[in-house]
Amino acid sequence: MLPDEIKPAMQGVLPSTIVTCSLDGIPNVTDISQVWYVDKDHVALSHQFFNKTHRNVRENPYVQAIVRDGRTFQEWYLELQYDHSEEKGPLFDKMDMELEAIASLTGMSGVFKLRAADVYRVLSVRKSRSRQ
Amino acid sequence: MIPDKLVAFVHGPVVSFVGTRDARLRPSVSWVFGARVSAASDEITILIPDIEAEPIKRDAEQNARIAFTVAGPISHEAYQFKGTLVGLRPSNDEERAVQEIHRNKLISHLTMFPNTLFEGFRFSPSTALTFRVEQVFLQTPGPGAGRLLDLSALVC
Repeated sequence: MLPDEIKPAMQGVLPSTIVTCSLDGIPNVTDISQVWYVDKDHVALSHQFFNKTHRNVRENPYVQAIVRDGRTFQEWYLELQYDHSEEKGPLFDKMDMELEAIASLTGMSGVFKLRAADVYRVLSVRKSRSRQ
Repeated sequence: MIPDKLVAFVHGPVVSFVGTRDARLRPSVSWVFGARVSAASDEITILIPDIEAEPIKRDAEQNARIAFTVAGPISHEAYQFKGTLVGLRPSNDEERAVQEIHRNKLISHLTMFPNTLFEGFRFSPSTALTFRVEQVFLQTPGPGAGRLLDLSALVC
């Protein structure tokens, strides 16, 4: 489902934005450092803190995300459904290393600590219409 | 009352997004380009480009729940305002001027990017969505993100 041309928007050059919703119906919007490409049908988000996003996704697995290409500002909208978490293994190690690199580049080294790689199924993807 | 510090922040060179959800609790997000804060009435009017506004308008009219996040693209300082819809309408000429001012602030602030990157954004026409702020959360990345702010402590 995910086209190859979306990959530059999943390199963490610019933050991504995600919205979740609690079971009592309150939406929550936040920026995250990166959405990782796993395969054509899955992406991963980093679980770093036990925050509102984390709680919401355990209650209600549906998420919408915007990822953006750091060279062109082209944005993509993704509808996602939480699938499972990985606390070790190749995906976790890759995300852990890249997260530390992002933290270093943004002066936030030591702030980010990966607890798990949260893997989501991609339900839909489309390019943003925000650019002419 | 929304403190002056937060009013100035929202009116500054920030990037901002609005989140809503539908009757099935499926969330939607859209970019926002420009906002005006009425500190006295605890209301914020956000300008949502029509090109991406439809799901937000539909959700807001259905259940009135609004989440609005603003972030400094260099400082990473960020806040989330949550509240209830007051009204939706097409944006007016004054608000289009607010959007032009906002664009110029971003260009001046983000000097590491070429100006051409800011051309071609389709932020007009847009919808003015006004909501009453009920809670404000710190959203700056880190362990304190998500903390509910005591607004009375921030009023100077």
